[in-house]
Amino acid sequence: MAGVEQDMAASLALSRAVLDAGVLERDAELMLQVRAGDQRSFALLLERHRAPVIHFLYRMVQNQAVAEELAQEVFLRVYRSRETYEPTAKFTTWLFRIATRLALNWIRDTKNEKTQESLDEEILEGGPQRQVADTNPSVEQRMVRSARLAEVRRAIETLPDKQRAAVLMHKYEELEYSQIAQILECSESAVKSLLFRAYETLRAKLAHMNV
Amino acid sequence: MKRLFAILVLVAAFLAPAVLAAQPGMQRGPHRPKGRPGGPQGLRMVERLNSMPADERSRVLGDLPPKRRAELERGLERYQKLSPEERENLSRRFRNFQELSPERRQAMREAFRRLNDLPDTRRRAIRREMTDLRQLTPESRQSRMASDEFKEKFSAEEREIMDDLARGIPEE
Amino acid sequence: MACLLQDKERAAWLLGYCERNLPPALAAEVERHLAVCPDCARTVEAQQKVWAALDVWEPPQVSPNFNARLYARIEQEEVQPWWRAVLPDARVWTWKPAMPLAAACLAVLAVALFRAPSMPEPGPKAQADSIDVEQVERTLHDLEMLQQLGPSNSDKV
Repeated sequence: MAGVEQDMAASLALSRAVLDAGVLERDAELMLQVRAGDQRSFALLLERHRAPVIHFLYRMVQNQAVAEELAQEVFLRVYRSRETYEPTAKFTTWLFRIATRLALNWIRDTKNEKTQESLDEEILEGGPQRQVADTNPSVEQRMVRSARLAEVRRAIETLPDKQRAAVLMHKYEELEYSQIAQILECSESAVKSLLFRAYETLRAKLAHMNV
Repeated sequence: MKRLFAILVLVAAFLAPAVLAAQPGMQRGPHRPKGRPGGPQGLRMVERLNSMPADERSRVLGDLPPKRRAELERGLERYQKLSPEERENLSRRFRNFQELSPERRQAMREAFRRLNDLPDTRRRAIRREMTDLRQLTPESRQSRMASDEFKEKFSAEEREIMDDLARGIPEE
Repeated sequence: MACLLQDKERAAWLLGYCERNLPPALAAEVERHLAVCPDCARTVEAQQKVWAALDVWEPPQVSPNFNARLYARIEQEEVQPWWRAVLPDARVWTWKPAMPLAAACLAVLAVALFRAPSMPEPGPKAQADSIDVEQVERTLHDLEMLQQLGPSNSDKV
């Protein structure tokens, strides 16, 4: 019991120190306001972080509907935890830790059921809706783009789960090693190992592509 | 008669919660932000804050942490220093910005943040390019951004930033 | 400098070099090494191609009703009575108890509809209180962004 009290006191002292130093990040401030009952701050946090969380989950599970369901669960958990929230880490670290756990659980739980159905469907439909500055591509260009996209997705899908999470956070969310380490609950050295092996695999599979 | 009464009761039971919820002070649920964040109301609030006497503004902003308050006051000061014509132009562009979808607006904000993270030289190059892109029609803009010359001048990340910002350019 | 691919710590320098986020002195050292190490040079080239390939993968747009669905779920959790968590299958809805409930709703509806809600014009205090500071902050940020992206600011950093 004394140990628990000491931990709580240390946690509270850390929070106070961070607050006193005036370096509390904006998101943590907003979350503290949610804790205090301000619902609009939750709406603001949702607006700021919804897209990155969904995009990360989409690339992890490679299914938009599932990604949105998991993202809903992420924000539900954030909301449920509001009364006990303490800014002991960056808000995005906490957010992505929840998202990563949910994604890894989903991947593990559906490993045996997973088919290529959702991947192939999207390829047949012509790829994702968001195009980067491409006007009236020809049929051939669309087919080339779809083939490239399929190759990229398969390459990511073959990565072991934690390597996949590390690459997606590093490449698309541009998180630092230290933050990825906190999210994956491992050391920075372990993150570098994950990325080293992941990029090695991806280089072998994708470096031939001339985009 | 009994049937009519039952129908009336059911209709009332259906409508009552909605009427009650609309009463001031009876809002419930966590999720009713007032209007779109930063919508036309936002601009009106900025103008209202600007026109307030100092002591009243101080009272409104009093609870803010010092850093946020200083930043907000700097923003108000910048807005105040605009000429009427500049303010009118900016307001018009702001209203056009509000016409975009929430996702598009957020993508623009994030692109702007990423733009500011770039080295100075790249930021300047992108801003210069954006000035040229603004002059083009949407079709010409897309065509230019898809060209090989454009892809050689700007990295994939820079092109993505410009794509997000360009899609927020309204039809002026 | 030995080949950087021999261990993950030093291989991370190659990644950092590609991302252009190495300290200048280290970046210069890596660059000198690339000039004499074909394996590392090939890796850098391949890594840049990998990133260009990964850039192709754009996510779909978020469903327009994402927020609405989330808020509906939150609200559902909030209105659930405490005993529902304990007895999720309990059935308490029967027609007879609904009649007084419906009658009570009718009475409240009648009061709400026939009440004369002559709300006075909000005074200065109320007007000031109706200012949403978060919204003001967001608006100012957007205005700043639009101003900086405007046509007369291309050379301003």
